[in-house]
Amino acid sequence: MYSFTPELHHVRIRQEVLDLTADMPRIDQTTELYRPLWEHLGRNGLPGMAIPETYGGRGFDALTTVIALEALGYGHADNGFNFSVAAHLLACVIPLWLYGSEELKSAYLPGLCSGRLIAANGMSEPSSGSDAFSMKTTARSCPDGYCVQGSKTFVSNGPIADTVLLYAATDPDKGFLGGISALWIDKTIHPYSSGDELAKAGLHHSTLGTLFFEDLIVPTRYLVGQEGRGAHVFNRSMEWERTCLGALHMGNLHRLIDRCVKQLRSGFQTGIPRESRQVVMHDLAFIQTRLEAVRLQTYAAAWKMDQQKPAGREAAMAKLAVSELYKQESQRLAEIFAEIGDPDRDAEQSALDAVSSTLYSGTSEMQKMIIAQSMGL
Amino acid sequence: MSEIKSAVKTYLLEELNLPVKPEELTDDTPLLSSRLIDSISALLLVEFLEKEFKIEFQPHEVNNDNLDSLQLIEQFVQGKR
Repeated sequence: MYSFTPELHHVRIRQEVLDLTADMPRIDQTTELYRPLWEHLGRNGLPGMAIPETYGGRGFDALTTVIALEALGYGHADNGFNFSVAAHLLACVIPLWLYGSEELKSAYLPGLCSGRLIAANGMSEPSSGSDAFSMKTTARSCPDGYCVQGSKTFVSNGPIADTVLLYAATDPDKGFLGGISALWIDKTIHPYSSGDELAKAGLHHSTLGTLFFEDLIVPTRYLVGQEGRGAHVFNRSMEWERTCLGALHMGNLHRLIDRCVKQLRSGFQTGIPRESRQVVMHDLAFIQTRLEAVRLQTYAAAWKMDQQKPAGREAAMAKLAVSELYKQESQRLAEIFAEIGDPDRDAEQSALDAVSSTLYSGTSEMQKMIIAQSMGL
Repeated sequence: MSEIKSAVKTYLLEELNLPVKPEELTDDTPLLSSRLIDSISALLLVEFLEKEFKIEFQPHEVNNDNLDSLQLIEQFVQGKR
């Protein structure tokens, strides 16, 4: 059944998240003091919102997850922190829930849902780029399980993570079809080293780093999914991430539009000529229109996932549309605030934060490739 | 067409939206080697086959030899039953 009206529980969850963001603790910029933010959201199980309540999550389906993340993006202006929570949830916690053993789920999901544990996704490597499955990191069979050798880079949450969902080649010749496995790495049990935090243009409260694994022994029971099924695990996690993570960006754009409109309606003495004001109005109207279109596309992709249907193509389309919109229109909104004589720190920071949105979870070119392949091209 | 081939064909056309007409998808139509099925869809197909026919692929079995046509898929599924 089609419906374009939110259910009552969607409305309530949106309000719950907005209330929670209005009450976020203030932090300084060190990573250790950053933990209270995770724990604040964790009191309501939001770092594991899609995980069943029996493990400490909230049991949200994909559509409800989108709505909750949209509210987080709207209510909490720290886009970097929001991104970190979403990456933790979508690329690490959900695949552990979907593919992990009961032993792993019982041991880790409660902490991951409560904000006590932070997870990172170890996939990208210095030499692999978008061809992620041509990885050099290996997990060779050894008497005690696997011996992991290699490194991962551009790992969101990497420098502060307690756990890592690591992808490694168990059969390098087979590649993505049966040759990649996913392993759950617990830093306290499987020690690895981290490089310096990587600098970036935006998303400052989302740490990014490189992780090094040297002859790391990981017992077989830390496999997430069967041996050789890492590509399945990664693919499903990307379906969730590509569908849901852009909800943060939609919330961010919505926040900026609302404040811009409020400023214009309040009688604020703008510094722009009367005729330019019309240009601003038209641009805001167009941004609002594009945002509504992308929102529907994202909701539809999430809805399809909730029907247990393959949604890789829809996820790629939603991700492509929302990230391109975010990058273009956050820039325009920052310009509009400047044009009306009210330069806005939030808008400027959002424009910087948006720069990487067409890179992570697969670049825009990669999304186009997925879509083109699904068209038979 | 056998029950297995028919179920797989329906899945390929209706769930994975393979860009091919039903009459063009024959028992021997190459699926992976022709790139009619992309890499992501291949992973989904494996999950479908395991769930639908209650079988399990071993890592070395996820390859073109077992997945490249309806005929090969049927042979593989029957061999696993």
